[in-house]
Amino acid sequence: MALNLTGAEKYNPNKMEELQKHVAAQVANGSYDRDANLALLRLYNFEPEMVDGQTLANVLLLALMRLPEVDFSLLLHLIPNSSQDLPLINAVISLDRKLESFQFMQFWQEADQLREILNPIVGFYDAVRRYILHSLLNTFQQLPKTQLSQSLKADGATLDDLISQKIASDGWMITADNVIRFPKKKKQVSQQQTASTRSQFDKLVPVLKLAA
Amino acid sequence: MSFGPPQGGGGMDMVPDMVKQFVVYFYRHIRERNMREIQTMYDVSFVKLSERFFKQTPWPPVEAISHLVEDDHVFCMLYKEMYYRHLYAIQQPSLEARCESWANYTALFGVIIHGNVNMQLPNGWLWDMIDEFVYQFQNFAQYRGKLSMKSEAEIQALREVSLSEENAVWPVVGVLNYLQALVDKSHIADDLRAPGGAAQLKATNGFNQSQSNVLRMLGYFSLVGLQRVHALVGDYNGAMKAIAPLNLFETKTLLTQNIVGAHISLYYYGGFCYLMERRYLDAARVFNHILSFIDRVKGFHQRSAQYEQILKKNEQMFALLAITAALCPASLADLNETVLNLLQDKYGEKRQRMVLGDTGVYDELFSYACPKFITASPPNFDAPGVNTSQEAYRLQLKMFLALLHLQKDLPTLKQFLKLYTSISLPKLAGLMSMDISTLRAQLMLLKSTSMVKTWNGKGDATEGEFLPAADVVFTIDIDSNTGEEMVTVSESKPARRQDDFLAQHIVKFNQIMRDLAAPPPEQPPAAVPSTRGVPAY
Repeated sequence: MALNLTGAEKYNPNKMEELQKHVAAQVANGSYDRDANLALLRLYNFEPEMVDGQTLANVLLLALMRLPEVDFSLLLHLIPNSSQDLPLINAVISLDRKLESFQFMQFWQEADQLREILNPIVGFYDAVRRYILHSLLNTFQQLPKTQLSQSLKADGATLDDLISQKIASDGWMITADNVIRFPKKKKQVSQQQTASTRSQFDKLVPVLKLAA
Repeated sequence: MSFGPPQGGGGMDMVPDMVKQFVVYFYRHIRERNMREIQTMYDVSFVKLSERFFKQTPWPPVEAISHLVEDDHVFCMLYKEMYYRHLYAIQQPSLEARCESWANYTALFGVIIHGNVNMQLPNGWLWDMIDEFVYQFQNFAQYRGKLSMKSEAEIQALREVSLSEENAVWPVVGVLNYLQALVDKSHIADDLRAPGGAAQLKATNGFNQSQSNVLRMLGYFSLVGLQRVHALVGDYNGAMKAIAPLNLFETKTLLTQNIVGAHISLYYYGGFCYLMERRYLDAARVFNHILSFIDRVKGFHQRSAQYEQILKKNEQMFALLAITAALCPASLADLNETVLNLLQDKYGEKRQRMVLGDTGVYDELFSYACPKFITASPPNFDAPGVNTSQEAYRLQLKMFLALLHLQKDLPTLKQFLKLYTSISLPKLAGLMSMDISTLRAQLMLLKSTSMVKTWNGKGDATEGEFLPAADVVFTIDIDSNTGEEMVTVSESKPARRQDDFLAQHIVKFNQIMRDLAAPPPEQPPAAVPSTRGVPAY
């Protein structure tokens, strides 16, 4: 990715076409360039009449693949109402909302409607499934196979392959009545709670001085 | 380019003697690089003269005084910079004035970027230049969006200066490019990245006897300027990328600490960007630093012209901190005692309501404390009945409220979870009046909000890793006895920083004891100050 985004090139409005081609390249080869896409959306923000709906949708979808990173939200803040109201963009936003609120069934339904846009994006479905799996594992200790299938929109051989792979690599287990158990996670204690038990020495210096 | 016919204070004879003297001496001191005098004349004399002679009228136009300074090209530009800054402060500038000020800034920056100046100017002035440059840009964007109150002729004039390719006035790309050029040509990013570079810059205050400090410091302050411009158009990641050479978490090496306006801008926009990026722990740390800073130094600035601005930003940042703490209660542990107490005083009740999910309060505080967003593109001049100046703000507010809407059931869910050590999913679903699959989705949502991207010491301000920051920690599993799916909530005591509090009060009490033991003066001894209880937050 030999895109120059420094110095005078950073805000160069003539770069729009180059950046648009760069988006198409990311779609085709499964790469991701946040800074370049952000630069493009900035230019779109400065000249809304130049927005290319397809490219804009693709940029958003590329960002959606990055969940739980908030790239999608950051890009959306740059998109003026006039562009957000385009039917295609509206549909993409709705897709994101379903995913960010973990409504998987509805997500897959809407994704099906948009399959013509989604299918060409290399790695899209893999990225989404990775995020869904990550969220499920984070929250639940076990899940019936049917639910896993519904959430991931995967069944038959694909699903069985995934499960056996995870049994081998990640310690999953499957019971007789087709319930999958995930390995126990470490307790998630936030930094604040552990830090509170350690005092900061500088805070105690004035007190120690008194004792001296 | 003309200033128009001379008005009050315009002609040569109308310039008061004191003002003539000011101009002559100011010019001389700048030529002789007499820093102390320049500083005094800029900070004190200019302000006093403005108060006395130019409370409601602009300073004399540059043509009226240029003969006093040998028509020095650079000095005239500096004079005009101050002239327009003063003008903007006392009245609504006309379109001509706005255009002329833009032309002046571009000319001045052009000369500086090409390395043709060898003067030394006070850092305060250099910051004011950048700050004012961005402010006038912001002001122009707002002005341009308010079409409905303008006449046909005004709209035509505005159309010409906005849409012209060659002669656009205050174009967003132009503003960004000038700031970026100052950053690049000053090589300030390299200076800061060199080991010990930032500390060195601070220690010398940017001065170097042999060179002019102007380009260097304008480059430094342009970093802060770029951050602001990005934030104003809604590009939060870009804003934090712009200040990549600066480290908000290592305050000791920040030169901005010496220029209170710059320091506040850096941290206000820094904190706001982090808040919008959902990096709540970072936002809280940033606000904690600046609010403690303001609390310590505000006494020194009471007489300064900036005092009101400082107080206003202070209040706004407390509001933003309240929002941050409501969205992520774990962030409260990062606040020191002073800030925590002040937060409780000012926004204790409102924070409680936000925690319970009151969107009205979120809306109110967000609208009060957010930056004055702008629409970077020109409005539709063919639809003059519509005012678009509020559009940008409305968009950002809409995005913020959309996030809240997504999480609208979480406050109730958290409340229920706090009441139980374990509860079955069906029972919880009943309490929440939702079906089980919706409940599962909500539990996943709750889990996802408990991981917050946080700076971990590596990389620039946009880097970080996801760290846990939950105030309710839970797991979901099948209970081996009942075979039911249960949510188990673990005890998560919010951290309380006792050490800070105790250390401060031990020292304070000691001081009191010493005062009481000392021989009494003529007057009655001072009353023992009452101690503050530990805040309940």
